[in-house]
Amino acid sequence: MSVLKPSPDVEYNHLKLDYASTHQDIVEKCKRGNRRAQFELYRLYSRAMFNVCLRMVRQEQDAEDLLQNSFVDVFTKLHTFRYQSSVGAWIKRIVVNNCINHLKRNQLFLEELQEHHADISAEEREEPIMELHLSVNLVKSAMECLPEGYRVVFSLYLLEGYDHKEIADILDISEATSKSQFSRARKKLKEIIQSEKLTSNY
Amino acid sequence: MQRDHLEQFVLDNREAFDDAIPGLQVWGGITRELDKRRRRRLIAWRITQIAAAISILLVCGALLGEYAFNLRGRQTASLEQIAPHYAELEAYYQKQIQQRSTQLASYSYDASVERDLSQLDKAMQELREELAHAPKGSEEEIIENLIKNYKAKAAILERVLDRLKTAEPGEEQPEEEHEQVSI
Repeated sequence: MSVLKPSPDVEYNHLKLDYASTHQDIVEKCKRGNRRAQFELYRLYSRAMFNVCLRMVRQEQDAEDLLQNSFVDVFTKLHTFRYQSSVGAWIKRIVVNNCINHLKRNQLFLEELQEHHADISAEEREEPIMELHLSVNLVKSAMECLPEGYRVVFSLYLLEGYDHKEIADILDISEATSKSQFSRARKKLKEIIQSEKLTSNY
Repeated sequence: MQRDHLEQFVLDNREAFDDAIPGLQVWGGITRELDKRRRRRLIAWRITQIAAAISILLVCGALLGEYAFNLRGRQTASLEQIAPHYAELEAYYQKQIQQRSTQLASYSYDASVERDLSQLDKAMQELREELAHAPKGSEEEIIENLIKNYKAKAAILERVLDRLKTAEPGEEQPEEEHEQVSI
């Protein structure tokens, strides 16, 4: 698994910041059960991971519970980590998997994921070219209005940096479904942003 | 392909999307859970250690017991167990030797005879021990040697008795004088 694969035309500044280092020294101390090192690792990644959880499950309480359980998993499974990826990417995968398991308890989420895998190329052409005046808060609140399946695929692809193959693997769906879910999510998001803009303007 | 406007915006402002901060109690929850698991693991480890110690003791005890049992069994192993058909023969010779020895006790005899007899006793003892540890198949041969030794001992005693009697003809003849042993 690799989230350290920036496409040539995009600068993944956030990824470089969070995931460039393997933090080998800290990781090795954590493996020996050093509590200070564990706190250091938590301090380094808890904020980013909390935001991952929050984007996936929306509820702050659920996100905090997932963050806590995920870090307990991280520290108990760390002895199996062999630097095959950055430790950040490894932690993130645990967090994402825990979030998905949490969401899968909801039957609706699974149904949402499975439906529509229509021809996406036609849809993409239909997508209106809107000149949106975007702000981070606007996008964030609009994302919260997305159906769960859309929101998860959209977050995993655009914010967490997974490609469609990885998303297909994480969610146990086909790559085509992941692609179509993403493009539908993007379209829906634009619609929400536009309508929110309209309502906030009035 | 040109990146979508919305996608580009998100990527350009990626860091701003991570603005939420988790509550301080999350770390407390993590350490509590880790401590709980560590304690559980420690207890499980202790139980394993104790169980291992007990099993080692049991195994050692069983092995030791079996060894002691075998040792005693081997020591008492007699001809009856190994070759029942020789047991009768052994009993016969032992009786013969016993009788002659008691007769001989009333005479005074040469020290060399005593030496010979004790040498025979020693050889028989060795044979018995050998018999106890003998591998299967070689037992027959040892038993044969043992019987030969019995015969020899009985014969020596017989001859000594004869000589003593002829030297002192006045002495009363023992009852079993004619009971000859065929060699």
